[in-house]
Amino acid sequence: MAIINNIRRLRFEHGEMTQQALAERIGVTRQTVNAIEANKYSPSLETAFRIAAVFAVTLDQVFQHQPGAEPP
Amino acid sequence: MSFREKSTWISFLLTLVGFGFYFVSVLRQLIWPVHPHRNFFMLFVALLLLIIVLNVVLHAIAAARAPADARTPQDERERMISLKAKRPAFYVVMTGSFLSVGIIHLNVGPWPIINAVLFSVWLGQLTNYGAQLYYYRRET
Repeated sequence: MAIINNIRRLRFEHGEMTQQALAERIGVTRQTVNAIEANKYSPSLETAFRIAAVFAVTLDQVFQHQPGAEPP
Repeated sequence: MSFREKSTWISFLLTLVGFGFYFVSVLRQLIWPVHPHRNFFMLFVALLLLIIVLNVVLHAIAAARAPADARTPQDERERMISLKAKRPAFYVVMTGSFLSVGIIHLNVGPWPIINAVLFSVWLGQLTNYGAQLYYYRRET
């Protein structure tokens, strides 16, 4: 089971927020935001909640399970 | 490329080239003995100091080119990469150390045993840096 996300779309909907700006707000590097967006890294719960808080949405509006897919 | 990945590349290459030179010299000595062993101790110390100085200089240059990136503390993904890379490195060092202990039975004296242990540590450190670089590349 893999986890997919809508971060790219959410960034676009929030004034085309850059990866760097999101990274600074959640306390990680830009490369980590890039890895999360590309589904190559699953963040910790704390970081996942911080991302959801930045976009003012619930966790499941950012991350979804994808049954059957292999994790990164 | 993040500052931390650049930092890992710097350490990897300096360790590879610096101590690689040392172990090639030791191997040549074992095959064609020409120098007394104490010269290799001085060579090791000189290379160690050179590697430390080059590490500091190259890290300072990398930090000056991306100061904000260099000031950012290590995040959870970077910590995970660092921890994951230590696992294969540990096995390399342990295997090498046990094999080095086996050299005692060859009655070759302390110098080859010391170099065999150092060689294991060197390979372990290269594995550590190499594994970090692999994880950085895979997840970017």
